[in-house]
Amino acid sequence: MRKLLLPLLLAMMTALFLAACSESVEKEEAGKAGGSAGSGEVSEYKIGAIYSKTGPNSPLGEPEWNATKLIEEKINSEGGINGVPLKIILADDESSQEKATQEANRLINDEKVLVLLGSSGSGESLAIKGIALQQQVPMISAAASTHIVEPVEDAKWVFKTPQSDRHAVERVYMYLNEQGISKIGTIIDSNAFGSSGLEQMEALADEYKIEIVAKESYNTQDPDMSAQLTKINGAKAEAIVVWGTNPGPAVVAKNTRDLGIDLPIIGSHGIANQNFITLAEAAAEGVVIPTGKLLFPSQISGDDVQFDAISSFYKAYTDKYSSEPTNFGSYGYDNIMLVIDALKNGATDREAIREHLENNITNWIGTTGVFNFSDKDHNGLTADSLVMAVVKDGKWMLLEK
Amino acid sequence: MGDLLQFTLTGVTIGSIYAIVALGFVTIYSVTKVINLAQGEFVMLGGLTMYSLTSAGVPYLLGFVITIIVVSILGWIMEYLLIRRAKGADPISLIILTIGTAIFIRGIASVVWGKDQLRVAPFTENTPVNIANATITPQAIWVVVIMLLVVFLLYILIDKTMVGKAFQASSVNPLAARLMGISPKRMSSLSFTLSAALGALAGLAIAPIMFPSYDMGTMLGIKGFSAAILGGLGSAPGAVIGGLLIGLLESLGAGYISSGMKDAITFSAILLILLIRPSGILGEKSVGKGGL
Repeated sequence: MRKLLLPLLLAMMTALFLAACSESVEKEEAGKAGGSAGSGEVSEYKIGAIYSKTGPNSPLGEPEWNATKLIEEKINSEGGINGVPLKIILADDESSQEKATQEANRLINDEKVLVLLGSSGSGESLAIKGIALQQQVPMISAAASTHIVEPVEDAKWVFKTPQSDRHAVERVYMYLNEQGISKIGTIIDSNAFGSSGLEQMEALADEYKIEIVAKESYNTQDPDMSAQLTKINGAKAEAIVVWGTNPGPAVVAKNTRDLGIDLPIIGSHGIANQNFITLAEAAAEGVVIPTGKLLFPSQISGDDVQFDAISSFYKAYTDKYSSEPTNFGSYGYDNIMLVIDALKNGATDREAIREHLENNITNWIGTTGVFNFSDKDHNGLTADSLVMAVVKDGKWMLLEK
Repeated sequence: MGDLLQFTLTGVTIGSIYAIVALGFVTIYSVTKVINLAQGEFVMLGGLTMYSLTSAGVPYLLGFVITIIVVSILGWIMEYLLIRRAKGADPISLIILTIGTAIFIRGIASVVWGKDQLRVAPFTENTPVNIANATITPQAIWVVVIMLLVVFLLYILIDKTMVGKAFQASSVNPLAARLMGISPKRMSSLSFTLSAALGALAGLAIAPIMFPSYDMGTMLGIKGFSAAILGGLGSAPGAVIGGLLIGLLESLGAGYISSGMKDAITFSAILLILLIRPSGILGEKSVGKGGL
């Protein structure tokens, strides 16, 4: 046993030494990659995309993954970008932050990608944000949290395409103003999604002259929220705003109607899916939410500036896959299209792509909204990119103004 | 006044859900001294099996019976494959085994039923009943009725039948029980099967209220376990009192103090009660003695 120990130790030390060496070599090469890509002798543009194709975030990641693949095939069948084929390396982070970090390191250091897309979840995106900043690789996230791109000074290389919860709250408040409702009772999920929603609702309340008369919360798995709703009703609220993802809001809708409270219920973009209606059934009728336009592509009018982008993407997606692209598909689509826009305009190294995204994306029409990136705003959207939807006859319908 | 009544009714609804889960804990504990932390998973399996059966077009009543049978068999298998093999291990090891089982069942369920919440139709027409400006849904009344029925049947089974006597005997002194011709192994097997059946029944009753999903077992397990501890582990009426108390504390706490604080209020109260009565509200001081 003792005889074996020494060779083993030696082997381990050699391995460690070699690993250290190769790491430093990699770093040098990575440093070169940015520059050499711009010299015009590239045979392909390499893009890395990390989306959560499996795990709890798979309903988000799958459409994003599909949309990215769809665009890669489309661009390459049309002869690439200015004659150079596009190569997208897709990686699945399995909805885990550790895996996302590993994949980000692999894509940047081994594959030497020009841009990093993803990931689907806020936690995973925040986990890889640091790597993108440190390695100076442009990154475009498909996750919701505002903190991914704020404060902008600490997010020089990071952009994102989905609307933030701030936009969703603004859109809800705009709707409330239109309806002449000024007193609301809020009931939020006690998780990160709900509390971040409440934070924004409180921050924006004065600006939109909204008074929050009752603030209630629940745990995601609670079986009954009647006590909280009775309290909101007793506080003379004119509407109930529920901020959470399934099943909470479905229970809230059901309890509200069972209690015989007929206040309007306004939800968040977290329930922009058919499952909410399946769960809440009749109680879902009349529930209003802010959402991206991909929830009902066929209801978007021809006058909408996004009409062409949305309908062509929707058609291409549904032709190829047997599922709906949903709003998440639109994030995946916009992410890759932004990069393609940069590459088409001659921004072909990491630094130039970042510069292009920050300075040249103005009134850029995507499927999620119309983007205006600047050095102060790396999300580039306004609340107008969201529309209001209402449940009517068991379906989400666009709410006309 | 109307508010107080509403908070109470809501508390009773929530409390009955916890109580019905707690009864499963009590059944196994009183025979084997094992706390089965996979009890919440039995409840989940009950709800989700019913979902599959009803969406496959099986009539409601038949689906009800099949669900209970299927989950009971799973409970029996769990005892046969795990608990029996590890016989002789101390209760702590067995409890850890049940945690492993819970994680395993949850994993399988997430593959079989997916991760979305599902909807199960209520037992009867679910138009809310109005009592002096407060409302309660018929399904909630069903939960209360089933819970009371289960307590009553458990009482009959344990205190009035031979099987019950054998249960108590195996719990008090397995060796002496064996000398009297009782097989503690069979009793352990029976208690797991019975509590799986109770879990399934709980799942069936709760499913229309709660939108079951693969991960509902964890929360129900914790709340049910707390109810069982509060009432005094091993006491069926205690489990009911414990469950109802937790439900009422949550509901009144959310109603009159703050919904964000409701769990803190509830668990502070539980701690306080356990400090005064360490063995639970109806728990017996002597640990050596079994009985429901």
